[in-house]
Amino acid sequence: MSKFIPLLKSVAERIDLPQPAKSRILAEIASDLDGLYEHYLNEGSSPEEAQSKAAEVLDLSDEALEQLVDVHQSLFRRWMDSLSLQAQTRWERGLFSILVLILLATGIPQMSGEEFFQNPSPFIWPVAVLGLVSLLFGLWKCYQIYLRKDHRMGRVHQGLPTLIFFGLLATALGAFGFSIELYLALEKLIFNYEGLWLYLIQWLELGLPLLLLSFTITLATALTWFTLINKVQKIVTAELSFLHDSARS
Amino acid sequence: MPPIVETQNLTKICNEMLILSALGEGKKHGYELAVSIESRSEGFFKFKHGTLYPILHKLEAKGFIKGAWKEEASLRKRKNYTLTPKGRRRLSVLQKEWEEFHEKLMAMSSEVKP
Repeated sequence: MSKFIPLLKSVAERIDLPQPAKSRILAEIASDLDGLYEHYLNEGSSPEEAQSKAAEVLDLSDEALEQLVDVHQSLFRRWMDSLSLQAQTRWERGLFSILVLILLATGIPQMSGEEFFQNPSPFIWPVAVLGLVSLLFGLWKCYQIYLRKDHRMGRVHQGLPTLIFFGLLATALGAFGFSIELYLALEKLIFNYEGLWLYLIQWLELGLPLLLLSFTITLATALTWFTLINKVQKIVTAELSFLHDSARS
Repeated sequence: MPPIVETQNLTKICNEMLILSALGEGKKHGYELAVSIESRSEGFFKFKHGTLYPILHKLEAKGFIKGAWKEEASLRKRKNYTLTPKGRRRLSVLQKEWEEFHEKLMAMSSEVKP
């Protein structure tokens, strides 16, 4: 492939697509260039002639590349390209969609009601702040990878461990708050055993929204992390495969 | 109701038919397709290879063909395309439309006597 590196570089500059779609297209063009080169060599051309004929016959005009980019530019196609090949099977796609739907259909309507934040456990506020920080952080990372397409190897991984840390911290904080609320309820119970049911209900009223919020944040950050790490792995694999192929030829 | 053939789409339909027909013979990768079309038509149809990719990727996105990467003996990965059952049905529809188009065109042009 080294014979065609300048040509491939010029093609790469003219393809405005995110990874790994871009590398897949380049790899396909590279393999066809090699095939054409061998074809002309077998027909009796000299290596120089074969190389120039292959490049000439391929003729990747701006118009052809624009059409190629258009094909990959639909939202669905971009989403599909962002997933690994393994995740593109029908079952995994279905499972992934169901998980997202469950998250949206159960957690979010529960938390969007006015009563959710009325008389809450004081622990709900740090968890909510953590959720907001995770959301902003996740959005920034998505913007960096999907929109700004900053796919520099040193930067794509940055922030992903922090995101999953925020998610785990939300659950830890939620569980801690839930336990403290239980402790406070039990403490009240020592002085007034007759209020058992009242304290139990109060504890659940305070503790369950806290747990629901923290679990939803953890699930959402885990889902965002999973999507991003999948994309990052594809970017890295595509980059390494491309570099490896270039070095081998 | 007969299909409406927009004349500006003729090249696109023609390219689509050529690719689907060539893949009817069996799986092929990009440049092999272009070479096959050229040789089967005895040079009548000549493809600029670069124009193949948008068509191939569009047909793949629509599910008419399926692309799969395969490592060959030379350790080079190639993307081979195969015709899907949906692609076969599409080819059959296109053949019927093209026959009708040809009939209409010939009927119109034969009205003019040389």
